[in-house]
This record gives sequence, C-alpha cells and structure tokens, in this order.
Amino acid sequence: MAKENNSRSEFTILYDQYVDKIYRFIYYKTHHKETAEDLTSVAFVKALNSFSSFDQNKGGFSAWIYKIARNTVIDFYRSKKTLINIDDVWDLSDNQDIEREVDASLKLAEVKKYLKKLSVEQRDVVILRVWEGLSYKEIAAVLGKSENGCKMMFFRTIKKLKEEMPLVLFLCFLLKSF
Amino acid sequence: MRKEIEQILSDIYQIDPALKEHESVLIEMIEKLLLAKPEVKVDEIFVSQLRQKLEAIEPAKNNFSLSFFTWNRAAYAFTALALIAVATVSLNYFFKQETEKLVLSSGVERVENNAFGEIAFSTDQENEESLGRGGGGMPLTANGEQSTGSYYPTPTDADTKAEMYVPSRINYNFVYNGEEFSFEKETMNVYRKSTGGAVPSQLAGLLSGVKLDVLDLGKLKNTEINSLQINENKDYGYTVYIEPKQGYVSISMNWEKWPQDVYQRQLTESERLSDQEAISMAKAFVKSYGINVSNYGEPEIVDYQNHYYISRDVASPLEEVVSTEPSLYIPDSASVVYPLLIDSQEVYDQSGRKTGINIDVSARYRKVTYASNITINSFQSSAYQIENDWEKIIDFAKKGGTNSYYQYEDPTETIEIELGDPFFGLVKTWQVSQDKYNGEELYIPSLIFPVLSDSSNGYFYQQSVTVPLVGMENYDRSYPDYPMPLLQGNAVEE
Repeated sequence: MAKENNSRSEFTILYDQYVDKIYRFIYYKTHHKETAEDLTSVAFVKALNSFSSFDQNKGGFSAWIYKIARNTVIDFYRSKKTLINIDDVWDLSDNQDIEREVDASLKLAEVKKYLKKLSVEQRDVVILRVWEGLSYKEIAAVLGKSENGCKMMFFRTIKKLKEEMPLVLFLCFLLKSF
Repeated sequence: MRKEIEQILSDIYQIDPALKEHESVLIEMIEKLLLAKPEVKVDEIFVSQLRQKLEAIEPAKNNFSLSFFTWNRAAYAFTALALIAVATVSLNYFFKQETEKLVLSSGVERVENNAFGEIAFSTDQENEESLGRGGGGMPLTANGEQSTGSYYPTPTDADTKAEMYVPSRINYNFVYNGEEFSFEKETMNVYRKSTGGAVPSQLAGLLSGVKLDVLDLGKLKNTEINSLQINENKDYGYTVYIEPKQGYVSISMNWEKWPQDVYQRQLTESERLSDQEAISMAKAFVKSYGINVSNYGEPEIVDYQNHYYISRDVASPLEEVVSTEPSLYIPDSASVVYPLLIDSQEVYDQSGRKTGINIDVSARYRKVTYASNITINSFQSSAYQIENDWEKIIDFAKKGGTNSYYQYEDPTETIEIELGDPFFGLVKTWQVSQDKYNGEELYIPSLIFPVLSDSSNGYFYQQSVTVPLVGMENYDRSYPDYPMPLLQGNAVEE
C-alpha cells in the first residue's frame, strides 16, 4: 500500500541522489542545457507533488523518477509540435526550429538516417541500459513494459543497428556523434 | 567496463545464444557505445536553486481519499433510497468541498503461492463479436457470385421467400516460424482483482445529512450503495455511473444536454480526427475530471476499430447489396485506451489488445463522449508455476490461443495466419470463484504472439494470439458450435 508519510526530508535525500542522473537523462533526450534544466525542474516538482502516493512496494524510486522524467520530455516535445509525433530531440529534422546545442547535433547526416529509424523506446532502452546502468527491471518500470520485453527490445535494437548500419559508419557515429 | 559489457552480453545471449558467434563484434559495439556516453556536467547552481525551489513548494495534498476498497459491507435494502438521496444532492454540493474527492484505491497485496486455487478460465465471451468466429464474416453479394458460401432453398409459404445461407467454411492455420522463447523464471504472479469496494465514512456522512420530504435518510442504519448515477446539468454535461461494490465508474454523455442530431450527416475527410487530436482530447478530459491514471501507461489509439468500420460494409452477411470495395467511412469517434499496468506489466484482453480505461472521442463534437472501465486497481498477487514447455505453448498458439476457431473437416478455404515473436503480458480473464460462486477477474501471465498476416482481407481481425502460461492445461477449448445458417428473406428469385 502507498506509504502515506513519505516525508519532505526523504524527498530531499532522494533529490540529491537522483538530480544528476535525471538531468543527464533529460539532456540525452534534448541536447540543450537550458531545456534540460527546465524539464528537470518540472519532473522534480511533479515528483514532489505525487510523492505522498509513491509506493515503494510497486517499484523503486529510480524507475519512478525516470518514468516521470521521460513523460515530461515527451509532453514537452508533443506540446511544441502537435501535428507530428515527436518524443525527443532525435525525432526532429535538422531544419526544425527548436533549441539544440550545436556541439551535440549529429554531424554525420548519413548516420542520422539510421538513428532516426529507432523508436523513442529503443533509444531509451539503450540510454538507460548502457549509459545509465539501470537494470531491465527498472527499465521495464520506466517504459511500462515487461522485463523480458525490454531485454528483447535492447537485443533487437543492437541487432537492427548492426544489420542496417555499415560497421564502419556505426563506429564513426559512436565516436563522433556526441 | 569489462564487467558491464559482460553483463550486457549475458542478457543478450539469454535471448539468443547464437549471437555468441558474433561476440567480438558485439563487444566492440557495446564498448564504443559506452565510450560514446556524453560528458554531461550538471550546473551546481542549478541543482542548488532547484532544491530551494522544491523546499518552498507545498506538495499537493492527498490526505483525503474516499476509498472504495474499505466500503462498508451492509444490506442491500436501502439502495433505492440512497440513490434518491444522492440524486438529490447536487453535483456542486458533492464535489465543491475541495478536500473531498473521489479517488480510486490501488495497490497489490502479495498472498501465498497458488492462493487462487486452480486456474480454469474459459473463453472470453465479451470479445466474440469482433473475432469473426466460426467462419462468419464472409462477404455476401446479391447474386452470390462473390461468395463461396452456399445457398440451400428452404420450404417457403406464399408470403415469404427465404433461403438458408451457409457461411464459407474457413479454417485458420496458425504458423509460427520464429525462435524458441527462453524463460528465466519457473513461477510468475497471477493477479486477482479485489472487489467488495468501500465507502468512506465521509460519504456516508453526506447521505445522513440529507432529509427528504418523505424520509429522513439520517435514520437509516448500516446502509450500502450499489450504484450511483450523477448527472451534470449543463450543456455537454456528462452522466457518471458508479458501481461502488465492483469499484467501477463510467462516464457518458448526458443525452439531455447534448445535441440530438448526432448521426444524420456523414462526416467528411476534413473532419476526421487525427490520432494526436484524439489523444490530446482524451488527456484533457482525464485532467479536467481528475481521473486517476497513475496506474496506466501512456494513452494510445485503438486502431482495430478503424478496420471494423471500414470493412463493415463489405463483411455483413445480412446486407442484400454489398460493395466489393470498402467504402470511405469516416468514423464518428476515435477510441483511446490508457493501458492498465499491474506491477509495471501491461494488461491485454484475450485477443491481445491492450486493456484499460477506454475513452471515446467524438469527431463530430471534438469532445469526449464516453469513458469506461475506470476501475479500482487493487489486486492480490500469488505466484504460480508457469508452463515453460515450448512444444505445448506453440501447439496451443497454433490452435488460435485462447480464442477457439471451429475447424471444419471439409473447409472451403484455409487461411494461413503468421505469428510473430511473442512477448510477455498479463491477460485479463474471468472465472467463477470455486468457493464463493462469484465471478472474479484474473490476470494471467501469458505469451502474446502478434499476428503478422495482413488482416485487410476482411476475414480475420484478431491482432494477436494469446497463450496463458498458467492454467493452460485447464483451458476450456470447446470449439464454438457449427455456425448457424442465416435466413435471407426474398434473396432469390423464384
């Protein structure tokens, strides 16, 4: 059952523990410092307002706060571009007028063609697993999918990149695109 | 880094051991991926300022919950009177008190293994109409030329010319060419929805304060409310139905407050709702009415409905004249579903469609017209041994999974249905409680095989085939009865 007295001090401790991680995760999905800071703020305010209903028994704080952050980014992009499906910065084309750090933009247009073929969920699985080190159980909670489904998705994403992208190009992308 | 790579590889090999052959390439890819992790530095000033901002915020109060789950069990006798009482209490009075809002309870209570007894669910009746069972759904033309169905003249009297239409005898041959699914666990949780509901004492207090001309409700003792209907008395208002005992709420148009000429004009292409519009309207509605969606995934469009609408013109065997081309039909509404999550697992119906809160958005009014299946989300979970014999699972899937299809000995047509790689999900089902003789809702860990075959031929609409991993051996695979011929009045010239 939901913990009724999740205290402010508990939240502050968790904030200190997760603010860096959440900021990074949002930055990966926005490529823009100010936007990442704004959305990090929004995510933590949402979390604070819902903290009394946060239930530790239904999953850890980690998955919970990442899920809030992910939805915050999705809401942000969808509110900006309502006519097309955009869930993060990767879905945007180069000429779309939205904030993005120049040094974070992809320099290899050919590579981007492949990257854009991934769904936001596939990108998130890679980011959360490889860069953020979340367990599949946590990733499953963030994405609202089964643990095994996330493993399968990660595997398929790697396989898809491997099959569709020439290896040399893939390595160039990994080395130079960020 | 080596340890991280080994862990990632280990996960991948569990899914596909054959990938070990490509280990060197995989290691290189993952290594580079790890090295490519962007260096992101968080601004300490920002972190500090945000902390201060959060400390200054007064968190939203959730200190008053009217929980269905603790509803007082009592007599049924005063239900009607209670309904009158609640109808008398205006919506404003009911909801204007800021701290008093109706909130659905949620949570999962762990109970001992195999606590729900033997799982022995049967076929899902509620989905039958959309499944084209029994070989029905064959296009019928006036002269029968387009159909492979057969006509058998029947005795007629002077006034009635009737004939029997026998549907085509279609067998479905399910094919799976994928790889074997590997199981990590021997047991998985089965979930049972908690019912019984609860009424908060504050709501009872509201009722007891109402004094009708004919009755003082405060005199009633130990009351129970089985259902409530609350109308919004305003233009485009809604009617809210609440079944507290089952913890079920639905919201529909209050017909008296909506324009009545709803279905007179066919919609044009320009009026078609985009998916994005429908989802945005559903979200706005959810927010506006304070519907708790914290236990649900992101809303999505239920696209099978479009298939239904488009193909209905050609598929109905009751139509005398049927076009061979699907006519352009702009659906009057779009359906959005907020998929239910139990312990972070998505829930599906027995046809493999995501299930949860359903919201219909009207293209004509650009408003939500119906929201249903808003339920309590209290469950018990109990671990059960799962079936992990791949042969049995595939055999079950090849028979159509939990949706049975009649297998003709002399089919006129056999359609191959290709199944894709399965994934895990909970499948909602229903069984009669063995001790209480009540129905109970169960959520069974299952493998869901997506249907890869093109369904646009109008024969087969099922999007997935589901295979329960618990209770498969007890599944009631009684095939539907042989399809009954349909009477076609005046369909044949004498």
